[in-house]
Amino acid sequence: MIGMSESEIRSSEAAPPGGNASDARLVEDVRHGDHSAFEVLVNRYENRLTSVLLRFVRDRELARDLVQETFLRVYERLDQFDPARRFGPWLFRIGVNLALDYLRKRRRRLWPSLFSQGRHERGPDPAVPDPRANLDLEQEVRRVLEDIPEKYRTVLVLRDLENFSSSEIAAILHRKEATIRWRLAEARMRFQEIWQRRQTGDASPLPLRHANDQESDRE
Amino acid sequence: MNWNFNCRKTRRLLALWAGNDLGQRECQSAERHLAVCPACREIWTQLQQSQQVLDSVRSAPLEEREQAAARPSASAWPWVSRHLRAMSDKPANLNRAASSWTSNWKGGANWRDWLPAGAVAAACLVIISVSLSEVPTDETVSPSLIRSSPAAFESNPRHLGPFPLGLWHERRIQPDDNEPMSL
Repeated sequence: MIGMSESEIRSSEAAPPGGNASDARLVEDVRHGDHSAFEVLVNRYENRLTSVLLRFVRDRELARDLVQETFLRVYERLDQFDPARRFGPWLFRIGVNLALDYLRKRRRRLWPSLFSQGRHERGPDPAVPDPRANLDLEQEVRRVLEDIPEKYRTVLVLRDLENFSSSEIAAILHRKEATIRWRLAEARMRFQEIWQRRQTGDASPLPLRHANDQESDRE
Repeated sequence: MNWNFNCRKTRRLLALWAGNDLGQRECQSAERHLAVCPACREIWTQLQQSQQVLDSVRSAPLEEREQAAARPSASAWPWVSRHLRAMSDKPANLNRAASSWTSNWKGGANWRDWLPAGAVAAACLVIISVSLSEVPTDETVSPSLIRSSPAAFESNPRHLGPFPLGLWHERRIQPDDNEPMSL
């Protein structure tokens, strides 16, 4: 199974900031009041965390705010962190949850406009190819992803766009690995269906799925 | 071959296989099914194509991602460090107010977030006030007083308070009954 090792998750740089000090050691130092150890952790993870959160919020400034807030929350909750577990997935869990919470709140605020002004502001139907010839691949993928339910989309983004392994995603999302694999398969099938329909211009409704019923016993 | 359980199960395996997330044994199982199912072979081709799209997006980072990674001034540490110092200077219960994430975000939480809770609270207040206004204000009459002069209460049954009306009528048609009234 292809996935990133913990050292790869940390950063794309050759040598991690802070030298070879382990995350567990740095966390212990922070707990004893050493702010410089926390600086090392911030420098070690911020680029990777920014990259992941940009997949969700698509806005650099907003992603930066979320990264800052993530580190602040991590610091505040450091006494709740179990040193027997890995620090990276715990950090990413807090960051991803912040991003998803933000998106849910924003969606709730958009509800009134969706009901009052129709659906014209939602953007093009993903089943219909966009008429703009210069629409790049990235934007098309984003539109397809927006049509996939959040719990599948999150797994797909973390696995296929950010290259986390299934076990790491399980740790980040606090789910069993079997659940993550189930969601990953479902997410890829949905992506393939919607993508295919965009390519062929098929506007008929998507077939009904029953993934929720079958997944419940894997939670 | 029709769409059946084997196809459904195999397509899940194919979706995992497309991203190299499948073990050797499961690959062989999927291969055996593909050998006899043209419909799944077509899906397999499409899954591989869509996986290539995702792979190409992964290998071509967004412009925003590149910029964020390239800007040294975008480091989170100065902001985090400033807030950690502020947290050290303030009592613990004030920390969250100083670092509230909603205060960071443009158009963060506002009064609309509290609107549903406020509406429910207002509805509860209205129900309570209406139900209180319908409660009789007269004092409850003791059964011994009713027994001594039932005619006084006949004209206004509200004086009976919690006294069971059925029992009252039963007693009224037997005025000579000397047994003590049980409640």
